[in-house]
Amino acid sequence: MASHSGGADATSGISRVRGLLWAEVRAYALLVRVAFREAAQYRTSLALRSLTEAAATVLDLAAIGIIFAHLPALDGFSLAEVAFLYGTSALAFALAEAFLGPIDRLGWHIREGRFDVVLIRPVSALVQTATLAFSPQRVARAVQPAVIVLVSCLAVPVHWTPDRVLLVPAMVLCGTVLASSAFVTTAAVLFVAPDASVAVAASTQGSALAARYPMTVYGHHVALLLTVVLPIGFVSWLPALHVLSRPDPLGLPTALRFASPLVAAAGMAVAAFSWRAGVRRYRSTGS
Amino acid sequence: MGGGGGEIVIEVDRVRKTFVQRRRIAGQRLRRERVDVHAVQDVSFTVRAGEIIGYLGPNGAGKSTTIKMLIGVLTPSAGRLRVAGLDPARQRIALARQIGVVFGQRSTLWWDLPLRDSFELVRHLYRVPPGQYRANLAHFVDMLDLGPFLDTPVRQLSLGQRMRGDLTAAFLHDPAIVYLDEPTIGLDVVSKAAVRAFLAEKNREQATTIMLTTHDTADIEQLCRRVIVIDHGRLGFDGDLATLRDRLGGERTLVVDLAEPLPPTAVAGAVVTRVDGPRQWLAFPATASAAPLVAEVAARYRLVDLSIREPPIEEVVKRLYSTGAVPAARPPSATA
Repeated sequence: MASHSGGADATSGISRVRGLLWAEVRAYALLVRVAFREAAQYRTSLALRSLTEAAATVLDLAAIGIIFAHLPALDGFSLAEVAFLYGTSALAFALAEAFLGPIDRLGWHIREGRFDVVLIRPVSALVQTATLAFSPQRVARAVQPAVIVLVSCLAVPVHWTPDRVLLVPAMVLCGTVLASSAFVTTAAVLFVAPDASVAVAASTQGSALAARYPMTVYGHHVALLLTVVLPIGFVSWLPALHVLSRPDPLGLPTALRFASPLVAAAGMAVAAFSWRAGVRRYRSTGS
Repeated sequence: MGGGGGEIVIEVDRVRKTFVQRRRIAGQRLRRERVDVHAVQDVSFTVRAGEIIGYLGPNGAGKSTTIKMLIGVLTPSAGRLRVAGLDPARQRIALARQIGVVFGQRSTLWWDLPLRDSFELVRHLYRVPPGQYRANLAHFVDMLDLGPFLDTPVRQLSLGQRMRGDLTAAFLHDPAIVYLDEPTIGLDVVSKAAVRAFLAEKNREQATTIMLTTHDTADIEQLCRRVIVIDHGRLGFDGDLATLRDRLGGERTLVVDLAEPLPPTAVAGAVVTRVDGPRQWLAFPATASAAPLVAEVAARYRLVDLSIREPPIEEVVKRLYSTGAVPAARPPSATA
C-alpha cells in the first residue's frame, strides 16, 4: 500500500477514503437489514417487544408531561426551555443509541468468542459490532425525545431567525456524533476489560442523564467540568444558550456556542483512536 | 501444485505473542503480579501457494494463536508476518477478501437465517460477482449435498450440516488461502469424509493453500503432505509426516483375526498388547518391516484377516516432546 503513496495525489486519496466510507455505510445498511430479518424470525417476540416499547414511550411522555407541569422553572429556566434542553440532548443520545448502542454488548461478544468471527469479515469491526445485536426497538426510543423537541420549539419564546432554525438540527447532529464518540470510546475499554460492561454502561447512561438539564443545576465547578472537560455541555447546553438567547451563567466565551462541530470532530478522532488501540489489544479467547 | 513451486504466500519470521496476565498473589488481597505468558515464541516458517499443511500440537500449544495472528485477529508482540504480501493486523480488511476461515467449534454463519441467506450475505460482504457466486454455490451444493437443508435456519442444522455450510461460506469467494481450526471435530464418519474430499478437491483444482489444525490423525494422513508441530509456543518439527514417524520411531500394530480364540501368540520381534477372542494386537517397532512378521504369523496360525495400524499422530507428537528428540527444522527451501 505504502508503495503507491508516491504517485497518489490528494484527490485520489480523498476519493479512496470516500469509497471506503461509502462501502462501510452500505455494509451497515445491509447488516441492519439482516438484523431486522433475524428479529422477524421470532414474530411473537418482535410484536410483544414493539408493543411494550410503544407503551413505554407513551408512558414516558406522560410522566415527563406531569413532571414539567408541576415544575414552573428550574434554576431560572422556564418549563419550555428546560424541555428544549432535555429534548435535544435526549434525542442526540437516543439517535446515537439507535445507531451504535449495540456496541455495549462488545464485552459479551468477546467472552463468547463471537468477536473472532467479526474480525474475519472484510467489513470494519465497528460496523459489525454495531449491527450484531441491532434492535428496531432502539430506533423507536428516539420518538419520545423528538416529540419533546418539536413541542418545546413551538413553546419557547424565541424569535426564529435562520441561524437559530439551522442550529437546532445542527446541534442534534453534533450531539449525536459526540454521544456516539462517547459510546465508542468507552466501549473500547471492553477490549482490555471485557467484564467492565456495567461500568461502561453506567458512564454512558450517566452522561446521557447529565446532558439533559441546565448545567447550572450542578453548581459552578461541576458545571464547568461537565461542560468543558467532558464535553457534555456541547451536546445541547452551549448551542441551546444561543437558540434561547440566554447569557451564559458560567461566563464562557460566546464563540463556544458554535464550537460543537469542532468538538464533535475531536470526539470522533478520540473514538477512532481508542477503538483502533482496543482492537490491537484484543486478546481473543482460547478455542 | 501440491507444495511444489508455488510462490511464497505465508511468511512467518520470528513471530511472538505474549499475553500479560495478572494473578492474585497468595495471601494478599489487592496486589496482583504481572505474569507474561508466551503463547507463541519465535516461530518461523513459510508456506508456498498450493500447499496443504497440518498444524499440530497439544491443546494450548499455540496453534490457534498462530492462526489468529495469520488472519489478523491478534496482533503479534514481535516478529514479521506477511500473508499474500499483506500485514494481517494492519491490513486486516484487505486480507479478509483473499482468505477463508473455518472455526470447527464456532459457526461463522448467521444463526437465525436460512443457510441460503447466509451465503447470499457472504456474497454481498465479499462482493462476489453473481456469475462466480452461482457457479460456486451450485458446485458446492452438489458436492456437499446441501440441497436438503438450504432453507433451514442455521440454528436447526446438525453439526455435520452446519460444518458443510461453514465450509461453503469460507470458499464462496474463491479465497487463495484457507485456515481451518479443527474442521472435523465432533463430526460423524460420513461428514468427515465429505469435508476431506472437499478440501482435497479445492486444493487440487484451484491450488488453494490450506492450513488446518486437527486432532484427527486421518485428516493429516489423507490431506497433509507437510506437518508443522508446535508445543509450548515453540516450533518442534516442520517436514512431512513419514519423516516425522521415521525419526521418532514408535510402534506400529499388526491386528490379526485368527480362525479361533487362542492364547497370545509368541512371534519374534513383536509383543502381544491385547487379546479379544480370536483377534490379537501385536506391537512392533515402526522402523521394522511388517512383511516377515506377517509371514511368520501366517505360517504358524490360521489367519482370517489382518491389518496394520500406524501410530496415531497424537502419540507421535507426544513422543516428540517427551523424548526431547526434536529433529532439526527443515530449511524452508526444501518444500517438495
